[in-house]
Amino acid sequence: MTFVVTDACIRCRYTDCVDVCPVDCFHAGPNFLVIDPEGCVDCGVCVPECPAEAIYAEADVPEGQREFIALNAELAGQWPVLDAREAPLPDAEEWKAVRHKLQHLQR
Amino acid sequence: MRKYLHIKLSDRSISAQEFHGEQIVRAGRYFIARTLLEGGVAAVDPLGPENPLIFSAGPFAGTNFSNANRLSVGCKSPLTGGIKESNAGGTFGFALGQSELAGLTLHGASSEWTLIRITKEGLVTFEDAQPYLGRGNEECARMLFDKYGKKISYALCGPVGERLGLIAGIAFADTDGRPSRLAARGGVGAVMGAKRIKAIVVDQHKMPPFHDRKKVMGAVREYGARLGREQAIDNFKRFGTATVGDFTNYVGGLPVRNFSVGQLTADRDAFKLGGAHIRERNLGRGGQTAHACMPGCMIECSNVYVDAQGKELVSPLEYETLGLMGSNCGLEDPDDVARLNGAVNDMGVDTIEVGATLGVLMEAGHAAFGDADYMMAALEDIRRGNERGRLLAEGADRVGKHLGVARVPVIKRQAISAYDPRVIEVTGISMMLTAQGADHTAGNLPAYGCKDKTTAELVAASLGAQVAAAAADSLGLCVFGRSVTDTNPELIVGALNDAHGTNLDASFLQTLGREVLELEWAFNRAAGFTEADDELPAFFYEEALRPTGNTARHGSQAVNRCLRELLGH
Repeated sequence: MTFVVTDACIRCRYTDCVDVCPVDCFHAGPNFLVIDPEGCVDCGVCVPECPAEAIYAEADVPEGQREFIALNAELAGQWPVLDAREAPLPDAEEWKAVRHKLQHLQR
Repeated sequence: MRKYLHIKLSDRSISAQEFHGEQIVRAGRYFIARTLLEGGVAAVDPLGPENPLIFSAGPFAGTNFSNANRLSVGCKSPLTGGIKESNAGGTFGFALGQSELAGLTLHGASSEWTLIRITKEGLVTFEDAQPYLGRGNEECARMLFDKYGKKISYALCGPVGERLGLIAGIAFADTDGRPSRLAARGGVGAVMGAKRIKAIVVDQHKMPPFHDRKKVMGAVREYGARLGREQAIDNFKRFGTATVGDFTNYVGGLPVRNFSVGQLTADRDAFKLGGAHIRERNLGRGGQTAHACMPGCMIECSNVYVDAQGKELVSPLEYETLGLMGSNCGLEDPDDVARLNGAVNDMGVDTIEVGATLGVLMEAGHAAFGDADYMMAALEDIRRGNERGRLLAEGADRVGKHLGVARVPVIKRQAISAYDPRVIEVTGISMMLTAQGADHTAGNLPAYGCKDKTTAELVAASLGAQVAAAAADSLGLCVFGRSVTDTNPELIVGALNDAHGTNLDASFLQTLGREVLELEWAFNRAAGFTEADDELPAFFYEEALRPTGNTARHGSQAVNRCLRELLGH
């Protein structure tokens, strides 16, 4: 199993999760984070850290967001590791409650 | 800061202590030993209300520090009459830490069967536990998740603990919610039953605050990275604890048919109870290896063992169970052990004590060694609590005495773990000397070369292992990480200082471990134990063990004399 970053992270990218990852398995793109499923040790400690509540256990990813499981695996292979917390995106608070943001994902 | 809860069951009053700095660090086995000794608990009836039941989480509880979320349970043992600290993995220690709790003590006894609920906001409530009584642990666990949601953990007194059976442990949820991580030894489940507490349910919340969280997380990453470079850890991850069986069978130190032989088969390829065979069989069926019992554990020595149809039989299938309930009872096939293990877990009892007890029954001629159907029927009696089941639930020592069996493998009335002390001598000495009763986890060095070593040399090795284990048990650390923990004290102590603002130096782990042992020995002396209680059963000294031909070389007097010299007493 792994944990998966989903839709709610897009255009927010708070990165609070990165601070508590014991294995540096978060990878950062321009406006989204993903978890490397090969590196994740399933501790789940990142889940409650996310202000946007974007992270789920793989088995609990809501219907309609299951495509993020493959997306995390794909983008983890393309994006660099983020090993320290950064400031959220400037308009993160405005986008935090917005859903269905996949069309805004920048690769 | 962490809170520590004192729950007085007679009137349901609660007082909270604030713990700071070193108070948080000196947890688990240290906290239990000090509290019980200073509280005069040595003199009380272990099943009476005066025996407190302590749940203590380590200083890293609630984090993802690999193998640092073990939970220590402590009380006076109703099985041994001595001190008891029994620790377990799972998520309960993690949940306590996430609720910013260092632990809790249950004082007195409840008049009604009760469930204690602790929310992440710190609210403690008492609920009627009648709906859960008499049910198996798996069903109870499902009921708890249905009622309280997925983000909880629990401590559970099983049906045998309800009836004060001395083989009863306390079950904690694993990372998948199974009630399969037990504080198994010494009858702690009977003490919970005597208090009429069926379950404690705690929320999982979020990582608690630390003095310097950023530095703590740096240590978490560094510890994990060092684990990743260890061959021993890689072996545990791939083969599970069952890998120990390949070794003990090879050297002739495996308990076979009530400790009458030390090797099941000389043909290593034919040995099915070891890690190599179990891994291959389990993976071929679609089972899971490399399973973490605690959140974030990178050792992942647990597994999910499945049958030929891919259906889960038990999780985990571990060496001690394969030894005591397997070869010690004449079983040779891990599927048989796994089925019995599943039944035992559902009752929440100690597989080591159960295996030793059934081995004694077979020794007495009640069944042939290897009769798995007989074993399952005996377990069913224990589950139902009929007359025979109640006797068996008293453990190997009492059953052996009742039946007049001479060969009963116990020390201080607790069953010997799966290391024959005639061959695996340092572990044997640790099991003799520890105040806990026979327990390999008190100081296990199975691969230590014992041949031609003197008693003094082996006692010194045992003491070193005992000190390290006692320190780990006081910090919520699993001893399986010892290849990193014991060689990197500055990393561990630095993480403790960063976590709780202490100013400890690298000698702290040795100091802590040594203090634990002294406190525990003092408790047992106060409870009436003497050096004579450290002796192995006579048959270990009298019977040569095949195939090595070894007899036990080290008596209690000599072992204790060497210990006193080392301690400067």
